[in-house]
Amino acid sequence: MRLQFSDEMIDAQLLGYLRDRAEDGAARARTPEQVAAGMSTANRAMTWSARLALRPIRLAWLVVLGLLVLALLAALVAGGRLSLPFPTQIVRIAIELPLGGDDPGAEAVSNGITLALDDAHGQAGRLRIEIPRTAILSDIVGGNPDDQQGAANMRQIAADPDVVAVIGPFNSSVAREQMPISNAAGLLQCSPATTDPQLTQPAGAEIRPTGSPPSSRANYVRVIGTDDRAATGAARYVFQRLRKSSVLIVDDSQGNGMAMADWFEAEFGRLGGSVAFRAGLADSSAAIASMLASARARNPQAIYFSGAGDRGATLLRAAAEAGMGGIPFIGTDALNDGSAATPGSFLGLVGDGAQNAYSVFPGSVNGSRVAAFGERYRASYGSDPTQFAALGYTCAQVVIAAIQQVAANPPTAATGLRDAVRAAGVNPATTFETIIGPIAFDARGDITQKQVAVYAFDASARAWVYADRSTPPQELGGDEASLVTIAAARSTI
Amino acid sequence: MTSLDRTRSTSAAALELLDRDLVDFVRQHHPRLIRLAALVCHNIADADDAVQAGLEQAWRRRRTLREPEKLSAWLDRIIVREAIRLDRRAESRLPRLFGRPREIVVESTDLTDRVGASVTGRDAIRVAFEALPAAQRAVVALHLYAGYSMPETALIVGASLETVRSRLRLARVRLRTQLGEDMP
Repeated sequence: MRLQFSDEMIDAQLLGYLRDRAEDGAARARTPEQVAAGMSTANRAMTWSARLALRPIRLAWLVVLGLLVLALLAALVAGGRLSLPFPTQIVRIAIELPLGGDDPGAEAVSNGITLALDDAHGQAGRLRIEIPRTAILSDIVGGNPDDQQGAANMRQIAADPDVVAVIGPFNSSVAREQMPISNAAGLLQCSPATTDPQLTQPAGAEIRPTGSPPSSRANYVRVIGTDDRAATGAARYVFQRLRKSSVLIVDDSQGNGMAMADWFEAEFGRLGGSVAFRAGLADSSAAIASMLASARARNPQAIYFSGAGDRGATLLRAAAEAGMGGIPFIGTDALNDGSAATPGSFLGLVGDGAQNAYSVFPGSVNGSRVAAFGERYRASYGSDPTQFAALGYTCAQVVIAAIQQVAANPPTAATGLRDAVRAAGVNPATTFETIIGPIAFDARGDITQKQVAVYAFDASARAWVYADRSTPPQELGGDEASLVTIAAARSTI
Repeated sequence: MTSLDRTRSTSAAALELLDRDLVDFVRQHHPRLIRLAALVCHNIADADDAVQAGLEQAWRRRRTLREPEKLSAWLDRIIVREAIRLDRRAESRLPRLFGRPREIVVESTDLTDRVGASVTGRDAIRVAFEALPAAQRAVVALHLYAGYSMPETALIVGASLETVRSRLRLARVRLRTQLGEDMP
């Protein structure tokens, strides 16, 4: 007679067996420490050796695996990437830019950052770096950068514990809102484009830093120069390189444009030049023509304009009509907003009327490494990189190098990776190797390389080309200092 | 020397520090997981492998877990699926690749060798349980041993509720048959 077993009886019998079997298995299994060691890169080889001894049945597979590992190592050695075959921890870099707005410049910056991460193979020491889509935020509202949206984005970024650094923003007004937040979070922030000197000067101490503790903690660096240095560098270029001693200064009547005109005027006067006429750019053509007629009577030898590209085009066309088209026209980097083929850009609006136009950029983004970056950028994205794309790449290089330092010398304090990366990024003693050359930051986070680049119109290419560079007087020291110029003046000027 | 040059060397101290969290993670979860894997796999070596491979997966993907209170179930799912995968691979490939029957692999490290053989009825259970495929063993282990409900078990093994119920029913049938044959 066969016994009948209910489900309950079967389950009860089975459960007793399962418990015994589970305990026996646990007693004979590897210990947690052995498993952890097996999971670690350093002990992986030993673990596999032990398995080989215990499980000869896997020998064939291990031989195949060994050959694959050797091939991988060989490839890594050839590619110079041997340091990190098995990264163990992931850290994130966030991007905060005016993406998707009317100005496509931010997209180029984002592209540059992504390219830098690709070139670094997404790794820094034993740390794997990623920029997830959720960590790429835009401060565009209604087509324009929005300060409060920038602040909200920074709060979101700071709340992600895996984020150790943020690259951005693009606009100084956004930075002013973001800096107290990133500072309080101990987050390294690198901007490729903010040029307002007040962000890092003593007058701006209320926004950098405000974090606690300690109150002196710095976290903000930028790889671009400031507006005051761009304006004074432009003054020195006009007076000493172009040898013009009388100038017409026109600003856009906006805060930043007026400030740059002030800096230009002060330095030009200090050098011995004279301001023939100064005015704000009016809206009506008649008022502009009237202003230029008055200025022409003072016989200026050059025109300096601080304002947006389209407004500069309006002024230059009016100046040409007023008979001043043949004198140098010097503007800020705002004029450098694309080639003549770019609709709505300065060169696109004035065309060949830009023969004597110059644009002064608050930084030096040139050289063979920048050229090589340009080739990779074109190959990756199918378009020409901007200076800001190169500076986005540069910011990423700074952040990655800071993470590499932390990976090599990991923190022992409870503050963790984020604070260690911040400290490494803002350390004035560190020199970062970048595509724009070796750079460092002072205690305020400003780049110590203060040269400005001068771009001129190339009639054959119908585009801006690098013409020269100038060092602002703040870096030269005293009256004995002279304008620093480097070869590479373009033949078409 | 540039900053990039300085950072190319990775010290042993750095490795130890970065692995500390990993060790704590393994210590916390390994005891429960190895018991579960031991019930699914036919031998302790496969169970060890399943747990280590599963923990590696979990360690890499731990940031993706949005509901920390479900960590245990998430880990169980990874380990059980890995254990099933390893067991199926051993079952299907070993005879073909090496020309030897599955039983040879089981011999010295077999979990069945030391459990219940001296107890009347336990041997029948052992034989019956060993004969179950890994997918059925997983359902039995999760539902009876780990205490998951049937819907929770279905989620963990990645099968429909009906499939899981069917697997448990078939397992009971096999056990009932074995017990009926061996018990006097």
